[in-house]
Formats: sequence, C-alpha cells, structure tokens
Amino acid sequence: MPREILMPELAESVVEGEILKWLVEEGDYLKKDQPFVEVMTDKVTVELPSPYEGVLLKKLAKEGDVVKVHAPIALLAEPGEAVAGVKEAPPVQAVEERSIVEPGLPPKEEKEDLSLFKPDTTQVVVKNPFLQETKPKEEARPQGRVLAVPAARKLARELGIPLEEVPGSGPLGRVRVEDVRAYAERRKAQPAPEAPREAPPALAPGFPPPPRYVPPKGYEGLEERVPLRGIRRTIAQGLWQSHLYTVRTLNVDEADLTELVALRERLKPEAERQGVKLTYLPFIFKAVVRALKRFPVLNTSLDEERQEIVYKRYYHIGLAVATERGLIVPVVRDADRKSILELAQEIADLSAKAREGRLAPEEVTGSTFTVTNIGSVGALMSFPIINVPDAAILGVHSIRKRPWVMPDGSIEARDIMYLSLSFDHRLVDGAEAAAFTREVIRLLENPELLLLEM
Amino acid sequence: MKTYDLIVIGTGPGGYHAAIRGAQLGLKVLAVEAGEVGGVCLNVGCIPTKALLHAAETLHHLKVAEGFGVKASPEVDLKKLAAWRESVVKRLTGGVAGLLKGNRVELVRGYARFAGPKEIEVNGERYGGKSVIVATGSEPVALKGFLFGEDIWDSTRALKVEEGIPKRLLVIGGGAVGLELGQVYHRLGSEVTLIEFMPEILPAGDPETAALLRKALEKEGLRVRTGTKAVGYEKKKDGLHVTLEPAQGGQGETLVVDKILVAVGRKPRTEGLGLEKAGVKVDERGFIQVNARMETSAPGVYAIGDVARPPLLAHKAMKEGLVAAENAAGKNALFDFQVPSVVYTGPEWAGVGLTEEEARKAGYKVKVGKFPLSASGRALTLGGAEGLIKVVGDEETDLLLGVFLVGPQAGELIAEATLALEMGATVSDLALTVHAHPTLSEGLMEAAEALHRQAIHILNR
Repeated sequence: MPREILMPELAESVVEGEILKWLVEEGDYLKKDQPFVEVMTDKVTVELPSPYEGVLLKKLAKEGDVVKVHAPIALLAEPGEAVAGVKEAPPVQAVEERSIVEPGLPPKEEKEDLSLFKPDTTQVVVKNPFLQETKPKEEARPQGRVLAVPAARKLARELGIPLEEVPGSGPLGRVRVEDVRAYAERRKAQPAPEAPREAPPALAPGFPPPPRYVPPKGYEGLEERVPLRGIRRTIAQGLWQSHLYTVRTLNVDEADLTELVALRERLKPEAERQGVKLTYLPFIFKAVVRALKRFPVLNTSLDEERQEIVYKRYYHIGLAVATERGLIVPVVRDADRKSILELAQEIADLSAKAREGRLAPEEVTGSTFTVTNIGSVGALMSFPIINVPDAAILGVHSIRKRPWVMPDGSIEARDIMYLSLSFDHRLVDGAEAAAFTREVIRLLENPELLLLEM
Repeated sequence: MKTYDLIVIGTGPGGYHAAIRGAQLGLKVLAVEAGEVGGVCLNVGCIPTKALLHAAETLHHLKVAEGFGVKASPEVDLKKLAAWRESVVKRLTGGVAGLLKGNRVELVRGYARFAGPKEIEVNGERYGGKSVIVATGSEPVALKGFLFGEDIWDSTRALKVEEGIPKRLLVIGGGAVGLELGQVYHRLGSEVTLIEFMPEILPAGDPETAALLRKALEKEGLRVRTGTKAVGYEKKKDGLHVTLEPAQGGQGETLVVDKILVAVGRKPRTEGLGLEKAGVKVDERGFIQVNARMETSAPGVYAIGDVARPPLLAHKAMKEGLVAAENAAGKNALFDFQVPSVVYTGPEWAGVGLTEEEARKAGYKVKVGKFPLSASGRALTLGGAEGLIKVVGDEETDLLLGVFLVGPQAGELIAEATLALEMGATVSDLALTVHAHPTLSEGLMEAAEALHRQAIHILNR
C-alpha cells in the first residue's frame, strides 16, 4: 500500500507550512532521509527528509500551497511495490528529430501551474497544447485551454487578467482582443468597495474589504506583477495581523551614550581577543532585559481566546534582521542568563544564519520582546510595528554626535541615540511605556549599572 | 568578470532569436558559440538538407517532365551542387552574424561551462549574467552496433554529396531526416533501402497520411521496410552485409549495401555544460526540464529548443527563444503555441494539432474531412496528383482540432491550418474562407467542406 507522507511538526506553535519547491518529481525514487521538498514555515525554509524509502507516487500539494501540520503532502510507494502508472526510470534514450512520442503514450494528468517552476515533463505538451489541456471534455471546458486568439492571450497576460474570466464574443465564446480590452475597462470602472456609501452603519461590525488595486489607465504595460509568495507573504500576513490587532502607540526618547561608546571602545580589543565582534546590541539587550524585569507588563502577550494576559518570566529577545529575502526576526533565547560576550556571539551567529536563510524554525519563534536596529540603515526616527504576539518593540537608531545641554548649562558634542518604543496600548499604559524607556536609557547612559547583570 | 543582462549559450535558431529579442528589449546580451553561428539548422541541418532536396527535386522534375512533353537529359555536377549548398549556408550564417552584430549582441567563441548559478566560463574567461538561456541544441544519436565512421554516416556526413553517391544505401530511421536524405540519395542515383522500427514511417504523425507518403516514395523507387530493425553488419569485399530482423524479432535476413545512414534520432547536448553547478535539472532522457515560461529549475536560467524538450524543431526553438528572452527582460511570456511539423520530401508531408487518435483520447467527438489531391485542378497541373488533405474537427462544437496533409507544398499549406488553430477557428471558418482557384490551398477548404459532407469536387459518400 502506498503510504502518505504527512507535514511534520516543524516547531512548536507551527501549524502549517508552505510548499516552496519540490525537489523531486513524481516517479522518482527516494532514499530514506533524502530531502524531497522545500517547506517554508514562519520565516524559515527547511528541506524535509523523506521518512521512508520508496517511489514518490504523487505530490498532494502544489508549490505555493499552504499545508496544515499532519496533513498529507505526498504519496510514497514502498520499495518493490508494483505501482501502475509509475515507470522505472528508463536509460537516456534518443528521440527522433521530428517524431518523438511513443505511440500510445498517455497524456499526463497535470494541470498547468504557470506561476512557479514546474517542469512540463511530457513531450505531448508542446506538440499538441490541446491534448494536454483538454483532458476529458466535461472538466476540460470550464478549466482547460480557453479558446482565444493569440493576440488576446498575450494582451490578457500583459494586463494580468485571467483569460478564463473574460467573456468571449467570438464563435464558441472565442476571446478576442476587444473582449480583453472591454473586460479590462469594466474591471477598472468598477467602484472599489461599495459598502461604505450604501450603508454606513453596516460598516461597524467587521473590517471593510481590502482595497482593490487598479492600475492607472494606460500604464498597465509599465507594471510588473510578482506573486506574493514565501517570506514576503509571511511578512505581509504577520504585519497585517499586527496592524489590525494591536493598538500601536509610540513613545520616543533620547539617550546620551557617550560613556557607553567609550566603554565599548575599551572592551573591544578584549572581545576581539576572544573572537567576538562587540557591537552596541548586546548592551542594549542587557538593558532591555533589566528594564523588562522591572516593568513585566512589557513582557506579556494577550491570549485573546481566553481573554487573559500572559506574563512571562523568561526573556526571549527577537532581533529584526533585514536580509535579501526580506525581514526575519531570529530570537535570542534566555537573554537574561547570557553575558555580554555570549549575547554578542549569538547575535552575530543568528544574523549570519538569517542572511544565509539557514535559521531553524525554533530560532525564529517564541520572542517575548523585540529590538529593531534601525541605526544600521540610518533613519532619524521610525515607528516600528509590533512583532505579534509581543507587547512591544524597541527601535534603536544611529548613535551620532549631537549638541547636548549638560547639567551645568554648557553645550557639548555628545554621542546621542534616539529610541522609539512601539507598544500595544491595550496591554501597556503610556506611563509604563515611558518609564520602561527611561529605565533602558538610564542603564545605557550609566553602563556600569549593567555590571550588576554581567 | 564581465557581466551582462543576458547570456545565450548557442546561436542556433533558438539562440539567435533569444539574443536578438533580448537586445531589442534593451538587454545587454552576450552570445556564446562553440561551432558556427546558426547552429545545426543553418550549417548541417534544415538549410543544407533543403538545398540538396531542391536540387534532387529539380532533377526529378526534369526526368518526369517528359510525361508532359518537356524533354531534357539532365546531368548532376556534384562539386557544383556542393558549392551552391555551401554558398546558401554561408549567406544565411553571415546574415545571422550580421543581425547579431547589428543588434549589438556580443559574440564570444568557445565552449561555455557553468561556473556558478549565473556565471559561465568560456576559454578560461568568466562571464556573469542576470539571466542565462541554454540553447545548445542536440546531436545525432548512434545506433548500437553501427559506429559512425567511413561506412556509417550521420546526417552531417550525408550532406557531403561531393564525396560520391554510394551505389547502395541503407537508411535506418523513417523520421524526417531519414526520409529526406534517403530521397536525396535515391534521386541522385543510389539504390536506397529505408527501414523503420515502428509499423509506419513518421510514427508520431497521422498514420493515414504517413502511409500515403510511404507509398509515394515506394512508387518512385525507394524501398521502404517498416516494422524492421537492423541488428548489426559485417564488412565484406562486396559491401556491408547488414542483418535485418522484424521489429518483434524473428527470422533475420541479409542486405548488402555500400553505406549506411543512421538517422534514428537526436539527443540533447548538455555534456560538459556543468548544469549541476547552476542547479539545472534534466529529465530521465537528458532534456533540461522547463515550464511554459521556459524557466529551468534554477532561477534566472532558461532552456530552449532541442536541449529543452521535444519536438526537435527549429521553429519551435525560435519561438521558445523569444519567450525566454521576453521573460528574461521582465515580461510575462508563455509558450502556448501550436507547433506544425513538416517533412520536406517530394511529396511533402505536414501536420499540426491533434491526430484523430489524440483527439479521441482528449475526449472529443471526432469527425474527419478528407480531400484527395487527385481531385484538385492545381495538383494535376503541377503534375503531382498524389496526396491527401485531412481535417480533424470536433463534431459537437465544429472546433478545428488538427490538419494533416501529404502533397506538393504541404509545408506552405500547413501555415494556414496553424493560423486557424491558433485563432481557435472552426471547421466552418475554413470552409467559408474564399480560396483562390486554382490553388492547392483550395484542398484545405474542400477538406473542411467534406467534414460537413458538402465538398464539391468529390462525392460525399
């Protein structure tokens, strides 16, 4: 009996994974533990090893599909099991220059997926596009090849219009260029969400529908469309959730880090001797953890289902890292139990892994508070978005020499940094947020206080 | 390292189309060619073969012209024929080189090898490309027991008519290449025997029209034996003793010939390319796996033409080249076209779309209209009354599904059928279009009428 391969539990609290890429084809022979599919969960990509040995009978999910944990993703036949329809891989064989198809070769039962890579393994595809796409006729008509002239097919692709949505005016419903144009016009003319104007009171429960994107007339050809996939989709979903389900409020303050700058300069050579590049982040992490201990409400989550506030007595600090693939938040676990040097080392390791896309699922989950280092890019001030389910996120900015009024009234050039704390006002009061930020600043301005944490 | 927007490996039909379209779309393009610009098609494929076919056909026409009162005693000057063949090739390859240059495509000569995902090495020099199109084509495949050499020819060697016309020639393979070159040698004076493993020549085509082509060739004097395989040969004083056997095995027999042309197929050319370095996957037959956008398994790397997938046809490669180049330039192009096939024998054979059998398998209620060229005024005045035009349609919707024909100029006639299919035409659309009289294309209209039992020049029984 063929066995199902199920989506494994990739990490705690991971409930689903997106099929990013199949690494093998149907009919391929899999060794045990051979990676066979690339799956993306949360913000990391893993190659799943095959749990058994055997022939991959069928892929049960397409690339781009999101599959729940424990749901089947593939069918595997056991070794030696005779399986109808799966050929043993034949040796490389020649193909006649013009006539290639073995007579009677059955057309493959594959539907075309144009958006992601998927090899067209059958030669019938090119020879007779009709054959591939018009399988049994009943199902073929609605979803098979749409009857359309070549110029209409091209125009529809350019405008990003699914051809099957366009009513054809030609014989047999053949879609012509004018049909595509008319459809595009109608689509543009449609007012976006209609609900607000008609019945304003009805707006109250639930969210309005998302806005509908309509290209400016005449500029459709100058646009390019990229499917929302992979990390970008995860980012989009996470941030959308954060935006819709937190009451985001901003608290801004500034810190004089002149002493910390000097301290770091002094410690740098020693850290380097131990093979660690010392940045400001480990100090900031330390200060944050200490402040979190004093203001535990910043280290909470809201369990909406149970209507409970979850106070955490562990300090997992997330660090937002910009990578080529997008934003990733690796998590430094138990930051309260680590030394400055250990934190420096771990932050460096996680950042490198993030940029290389090698993070394990457990390395990007479970943060209790997040720090985002905007300084490395160089904005004066930014309003970070909360990394749900955290209660707050601290944005730290570049350290620059700025004129500073000293206690004696004189003005000096000091090393100043802005901090922006973005917090969920449902959980955290404004005064608490401000006090928390002040505490972080107090510790950073007097780094010797951190000695007590080391 | 020099970097480009687009690197095209190979300047055969697919490659030069891709390079030129890429340049037209504003990309900085590098083309790499290991052999001659123009690839197999222009240098040792379609073009020189068709030149020889035309010469052989002219000779044949002069011989049969006596039947309508034109007498001639033609002679063939093989040296001059070869020189003309080469001049045609030179002119076309020179033209392609000029087009590449005129479009500011840089050309580097040598074998390309992937050094990384989007990096290639040619003659020790590295080149980086935002996109790479693999267009390395294919090469003849050898047959077990028949090593290419002095006596065993591949299609490239067979072009060299100037080196002599063998008295007796065995052609192994009843596909386009075998049929075309077989007929060239037959018309230039060889005694040609052609064998095909499958029960009919052109095994992928419509069997009815393929059989008509076989009969026409046999009538001309070519010996065609289908369902036959060659298992080995022995060189003796009086020639090559080839052992032929029925395809399913059984009693063998010996055929004595002077040369053997092996035309059993071609295989994709991927060796030495270092595809694994780029992460490009091939299928079990060695073809690079591609999707409808001509993308391979490696992002930014495309494959087109013979190296990508069958059918191995220059015009398929050309369109695929355009699709790949457009996608490399950020457009959204798909290869979703109908691909016609043509065999340039006399008479020609051509086909596009679904055969009756394929249409039935696809679930259509198939109806077929046929028009024999013996009823075509134009065919008769051309001296070639042999032939058939066949239209495959769906009875329920009248949708045109396929067209297959054998007859003079079939390769030109198939263009109308291909356009009709591409436009989603009905059989009635073909029937209702006025075709000039007398032309061969009228036959297509009549075949469409015949599907509705309304052809004028035949009895619709």
